[in-house]
Amino acid sequence: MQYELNSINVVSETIEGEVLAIRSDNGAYYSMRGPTATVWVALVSGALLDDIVPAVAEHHQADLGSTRTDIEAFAASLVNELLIVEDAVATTTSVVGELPAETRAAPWETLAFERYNDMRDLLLFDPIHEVQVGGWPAVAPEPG
Amino acid sequence: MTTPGVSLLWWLPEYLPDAGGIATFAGHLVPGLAERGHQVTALIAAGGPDRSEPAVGIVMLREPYREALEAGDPLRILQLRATTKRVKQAAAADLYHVHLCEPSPLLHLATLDTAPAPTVLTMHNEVVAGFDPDDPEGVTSRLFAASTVVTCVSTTATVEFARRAPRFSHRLVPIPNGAPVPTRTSPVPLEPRLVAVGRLIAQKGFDRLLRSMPTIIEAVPDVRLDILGDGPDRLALEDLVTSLGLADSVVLRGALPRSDVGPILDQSRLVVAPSRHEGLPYAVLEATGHGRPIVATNVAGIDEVVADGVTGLIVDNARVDDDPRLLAEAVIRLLTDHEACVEMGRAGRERTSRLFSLGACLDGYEQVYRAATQRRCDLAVVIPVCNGERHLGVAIESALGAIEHAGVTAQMIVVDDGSTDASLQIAQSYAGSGVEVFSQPNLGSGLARNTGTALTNSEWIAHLDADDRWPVDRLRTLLQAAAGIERSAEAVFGRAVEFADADAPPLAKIETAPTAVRFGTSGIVRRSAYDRIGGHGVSGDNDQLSWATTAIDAGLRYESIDDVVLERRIHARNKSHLRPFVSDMSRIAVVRAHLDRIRQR
Repeated sequence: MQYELNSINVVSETIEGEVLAIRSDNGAYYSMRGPTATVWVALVSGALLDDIVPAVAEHHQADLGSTRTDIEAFAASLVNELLIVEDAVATTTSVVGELPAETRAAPWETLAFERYNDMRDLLLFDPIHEVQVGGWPAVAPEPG
Repeated sequence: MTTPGVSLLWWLPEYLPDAGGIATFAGHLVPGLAERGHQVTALIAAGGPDRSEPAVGIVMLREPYREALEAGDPLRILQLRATTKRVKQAAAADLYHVHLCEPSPLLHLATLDTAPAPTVLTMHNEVVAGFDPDDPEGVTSRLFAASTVVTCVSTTATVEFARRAPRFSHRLVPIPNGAPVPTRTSPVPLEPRLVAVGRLIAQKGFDRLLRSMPTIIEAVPDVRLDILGDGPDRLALEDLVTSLGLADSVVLRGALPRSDVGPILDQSRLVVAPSRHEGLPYAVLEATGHGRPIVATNVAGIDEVVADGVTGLIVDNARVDDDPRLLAEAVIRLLTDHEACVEMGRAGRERTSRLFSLGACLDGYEQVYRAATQRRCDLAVVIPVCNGERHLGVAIESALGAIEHAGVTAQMIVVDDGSTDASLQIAQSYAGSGVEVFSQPNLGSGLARNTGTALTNSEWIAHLDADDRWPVDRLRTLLQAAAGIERSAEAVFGRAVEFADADAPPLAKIETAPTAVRFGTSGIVRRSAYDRIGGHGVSGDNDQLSWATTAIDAGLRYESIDDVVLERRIHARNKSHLRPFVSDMSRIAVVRAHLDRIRQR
């Protein structure tokens, strides 16, 4: 099994070991920390689940069997939340992306995202200005 | 728009013939303001006799603030407090214009109750980088709080100030330094003559230039360098000239009368500015005004004036000390290419005339004085624009209609953020309808909104983007709602609908159902809310999202109504189409800052 970011509607970034993701279609945003952040990073790297499980277990010095069960359940919840999608083009080889150094050796715990809706109106409202190349938001280079 | 003559008290660290950038700055601006009919009392925070030339409309006072503060002498400082009160009472100024470069404005703060008048504060580059934004009781924070408008002398200083002191960014107006540009210049000579101008201090980097001279002489044996200026490093630089064997090629000319500098610039092939750091240096502005190319380091301030490869050559400031040949190579390149010197000199002169003219600088300060002394009205409409010529007229007219319909006292300002199309001219064409226009270098929509906020004085502020339009009853509806709710409400937000422009992308989703949103553009915000929370940030992408989130996190007291108050145009060049959401990672930064704030509660 492989997954990828639902990049049509989701933007995400990992900052100092915390994953932040925003859904553009409903204005919800998400935070993931600790082992949950590790698993997110591994899942959206596009690696095979068979490669993700031992890498994550090693990262958190966790039990391989329970780790697999937890990751499978969490991946299903992320698919259900429309944050990731099952990869249509499955491959037989994969490389797990670099896992966040900040979460290394953090104790294994229940995998869960924090979901927030308090900025819904703000995140759904695109700031619209008329711009062209060289106008907002970039600083326009001055013609000589 | 003309400004009636105002009585100004300028608080300055130095004035001509003192050496230094602020003295040069004031030496251009003070006489320029007097010529425009303003009365200027210049209070110079350095003792000694006044050696400036007398002029109509200018009173020069020198008091030994700097000496007393440096000596830490409490008795003299107390005496200066009394002196300050006496000076303020005698000047009876309409406005105080304080230049923050050293601590003497502390005495202005200590005497705010004497002859009270609005304060305009000008931040010069070095100070912007130096103050402690986290010390609300510090002199600078108290000075910001006491200032109606804060101006910055360069775009670098403006951005830095907005980042470091966001609580005061709504008072910020960028006014780049301006220099007089001679009406005529002499041709760039063939002789390999270099000039460098400035105080002889480490900041100016003349030691770097001297270390690069042996390489230059090797390539161009008859090169000659004149260094104009004096300062504490003179002896050290003279020793360097001797030890490097440069006595036949380099002359330290000392401080010259200003009238002698122009002719020397005219005789130069190019001007070198090897500074380690800078404000927005007049030596470079004056050299480009004389049509001379510049070889300079890539330090803040200079990089706004010199376009690399267009008006001069830029070398890496971080590497010059280790490798003076970098400077030498750039100088040699121009000394061996006369045609390039002529072309770069021409381009530099055109650029300085356009972006850094003394006239534009004076216009900017006059507009600030007008703003700081105007009476408070009910509402200000702020329209930031950057290359928005296609829809700006519709936006302005919809706002004029809404103001008339509301029947309130209002002012409208269009802040042109470095447009290269006809936006500025379109905005100016509405002068007859009372629309004010301010032109600034391109700094992004957030800082343009701040400029508009700073240059108006109203109970409420309404932001309108240049490609949107307002329903005619928008302001009346929002103001009536504001009147009907409790006095402490800081904002009223309504709903927005979208409409398709003729050139809207065929697949664009048009949201015609009224959508509630707590953005400044979909409501009105009390000026006191900006005073409490601060202004817009530097981010051009998400300044509205960022401000709204910050404000709500700071407990913005708001009401929402169901009326449609904003019609958002969907067209081919909406930023949201050019920069799709999925690529807009800066929103992540806003969300993260918001989460940090709510987790700290």
